[in-house]
Amino acid sequence: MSKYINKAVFAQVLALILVILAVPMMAWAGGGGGPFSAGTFSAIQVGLVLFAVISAWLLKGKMGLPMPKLIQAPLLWVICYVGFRIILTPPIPFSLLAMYMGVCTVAIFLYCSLTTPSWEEFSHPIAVMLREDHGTAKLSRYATFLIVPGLIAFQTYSQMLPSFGEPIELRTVHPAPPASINLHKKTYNLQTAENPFRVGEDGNYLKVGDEAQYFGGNAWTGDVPKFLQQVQQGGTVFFGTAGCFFCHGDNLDGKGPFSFAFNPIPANFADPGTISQLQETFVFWRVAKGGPDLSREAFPWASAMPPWEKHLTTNEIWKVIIFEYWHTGFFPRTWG
Amino acid sequence: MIDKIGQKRAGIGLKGAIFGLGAVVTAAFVIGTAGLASAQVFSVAPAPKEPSPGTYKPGTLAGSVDAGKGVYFRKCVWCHGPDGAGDGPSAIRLATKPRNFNQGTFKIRHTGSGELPTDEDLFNTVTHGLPGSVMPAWGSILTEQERIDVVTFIKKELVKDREFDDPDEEITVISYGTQIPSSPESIEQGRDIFMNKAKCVECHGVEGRGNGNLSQRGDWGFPIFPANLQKPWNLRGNRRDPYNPRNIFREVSTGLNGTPMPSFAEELSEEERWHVANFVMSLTTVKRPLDPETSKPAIGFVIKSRYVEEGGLPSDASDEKWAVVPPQYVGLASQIIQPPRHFLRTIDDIRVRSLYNDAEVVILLEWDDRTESMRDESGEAKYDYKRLSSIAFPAINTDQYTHENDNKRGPLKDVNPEPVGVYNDGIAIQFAQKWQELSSPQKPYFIHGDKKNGVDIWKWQSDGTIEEIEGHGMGTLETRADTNVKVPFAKWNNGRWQVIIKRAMLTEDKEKSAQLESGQNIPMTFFAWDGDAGEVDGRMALSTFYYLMMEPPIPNTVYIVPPIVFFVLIGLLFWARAAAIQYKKDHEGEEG
Repeated sequence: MSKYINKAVFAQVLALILVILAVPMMAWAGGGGGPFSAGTFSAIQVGLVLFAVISAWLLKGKMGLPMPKLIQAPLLWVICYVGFRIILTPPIPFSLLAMYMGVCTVAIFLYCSLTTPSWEEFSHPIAVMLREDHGTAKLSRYATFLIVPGLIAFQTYSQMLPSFGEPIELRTVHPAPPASINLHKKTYNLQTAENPFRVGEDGNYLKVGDEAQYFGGNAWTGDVPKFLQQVQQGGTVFFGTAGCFFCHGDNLDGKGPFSFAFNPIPANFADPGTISQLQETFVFWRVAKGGPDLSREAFPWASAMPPWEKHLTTNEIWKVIIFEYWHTGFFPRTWG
Repeated sequence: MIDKIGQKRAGIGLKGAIFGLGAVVTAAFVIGTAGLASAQVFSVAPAPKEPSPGTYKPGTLAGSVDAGKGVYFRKCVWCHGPDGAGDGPSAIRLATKPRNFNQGTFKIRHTGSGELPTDEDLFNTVTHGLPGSVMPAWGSILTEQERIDVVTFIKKELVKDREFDDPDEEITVISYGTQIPSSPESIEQGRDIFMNKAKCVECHGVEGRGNGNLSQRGDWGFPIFPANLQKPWNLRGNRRDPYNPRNIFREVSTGLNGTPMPSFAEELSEEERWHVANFVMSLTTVKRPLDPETSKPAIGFVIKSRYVEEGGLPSDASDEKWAVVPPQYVGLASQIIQPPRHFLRTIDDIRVRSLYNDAEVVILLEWDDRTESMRDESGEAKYDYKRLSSIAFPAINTDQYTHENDNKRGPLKDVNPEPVGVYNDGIAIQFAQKWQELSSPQKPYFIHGDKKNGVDIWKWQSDGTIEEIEGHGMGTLETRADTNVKVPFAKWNNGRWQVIIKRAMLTEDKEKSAQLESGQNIPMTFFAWDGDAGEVDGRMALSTFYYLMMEPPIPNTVYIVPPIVFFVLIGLLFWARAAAIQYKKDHEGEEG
């Protein structure tokens, strides 16, 4: 009998620890603040779940102790929670998470209470903790009676404390372009316009993809091919005339010396999600017209991208685009 | 361990429980600490491998010159130029010029003054970049092999006036000795050396903001300003570990070749140099966590203003009421968007604090400015902008490019015209007019608003001018006849301005003047002018949008409800215990 009680108390202590750890976890996860950053927090959660699974295996497999229902249930619950929080990407909204966890809670409860013996196994340690007056039961009772209300009260406090975080504003980075733009007294149809400086050695238009032969080439010394001459001139616009690198960076990765001051941050051309997903004419529109010509969902009021039509000629705009693709080694998107 | 426990299976209960508890707590602690260490913001980069002290021949890095040349002409040539002369296309735009490699003069080294650097020094400069300049940290962009190759190429092909394998070349690697940990005594000794023995104060200023001698030039004739030691994240040699005194110790020991910063290895003992390093580190009173992406202080875009219950709002920067709210960091860029474009703002951040009560709001703005400037049409600007002229860069052929702003062709000679005269220093805060009526997240255009959505700008200038300006886009600014903005405090001291701007929460003119409310995110932006750097009107430093959030006082219920919850729950648990005991009593006998 005493062995059974000991086991029960053991189960209970472990369960309690899990609950203790789960509650602040949820608080941190929900609040987003707290002492840990999101990354650290995920690491702790995953680590704890792994630890719990390993210790369960050790207990059952190596030490002959089957895991009591009272541990199984919260453990399963925490595993589900961690799974939904971390493994699912993109993160699911809280309402959905609450729904999933509700279903999990019901399922776990059914699992524990389906038969009388299993319900007995689940609830017996709780009953022992509540009513028995021997040492360990008493000790865990005191602990439970203090810690559980304490944690819930703390949770209430953190929920009630007003927080003034940054409002979440979802911005569309690449909104739909207009059908055509007017630039320096000429109209450009963005579906059909072509970059006039995308030329091969014979002076003919270079099909997208064919410029790969010039990637990594030297645009400065020796016999510079025609295409690389455009690259050099485009680079001179990027670094000299226009000074694009102040925001977009020396590596075109959006980390220029001014980037820290801007919100939204400058576009990162080295990222496969920007210029390689866009048509050359889209980039042409963005460079020529800048932030103020964006549609409302792209926050034209906050973009520090200058309308370059005020500072550059049309040719310089086309050349700087050639340079950006050459430097990053990406191809513009085509409809072909 | 497991076997032992297995043997004592019978007694596992309580011991097992304690073991389990201990293990869980330990695991949580270990995982937590490991996680925190990886997120440790004060040392983003691993410590560079340092060569051991002693006298050597300069290193001969065995990378591939050809591969290095490939890297150089893709990534480096745009600033350092095809011949490594520091004359790439960007040179005309920059105040801190790209390095001219030809002379073999390198700033950040472990070697004696005037000596060539070690291979590790050059490799680390490429890896970590030179913070505060435009040289990025290539460590996250180029592979280790590429960085070795490009350094090999620079050493072999672009350093022309000296040879790394010249038998006469020698390098003496400094010794860090025994680091003296920072302490009030060490800082005090460091201060004494800084002020008296080594006279660092003459260039770096009494509080280290670099506001001493401003008329110095580097080896290539470009003016150089002493470093602002209060912003260690902008120090070139910080290796992205700006709060580490070893960087300061190294620079004091070696000096910065090509600049007026000398080596103090002879003049100061090792201990004295550590004291100086500790003193310099103590100048940055708020060690802000750095953003690992930018290696600059992390920015929060909500400026929090706290409620002051009684005693009125402070009208002095030294008032202790400010202590309740930590200074918040606002990053500034140059106004490069609309003519006249301006690339070289000298003010790169503002520290902002705000307090409010039922009637008024006060905003304390602090920023570093090496000079206190007042408008003087015929005055000579202390910041010499000749350094920016392309006359110094004959290699940059810009004849075929657009002339700034007016679509005329011609050389980019006057992209940064030398300013005529000196202007006022200044600061301005811009709010959206009628921001309550804008549907979130809509705002006026961040530079002076737009036709539809106007802005309300509160501007102060060093000659005492206080204006409230209405803006509907650049070039439409109109100073309003009536203003409710007051500036009860404005003081320049040791390279820093402190200005307090004060205004009533609500004013009579609800149309043109921003009405402030607590508990709301009020869109705001900042502008700053350094009059001695030729900044006036549109030539300025600016920010994008921040929010001013005047935090409402915390309601008392926050402190009352949780204790009630606590006691009610304890009551419920005791009720459950009573029920459990009763249940057992009622079912006594059934169990056996």
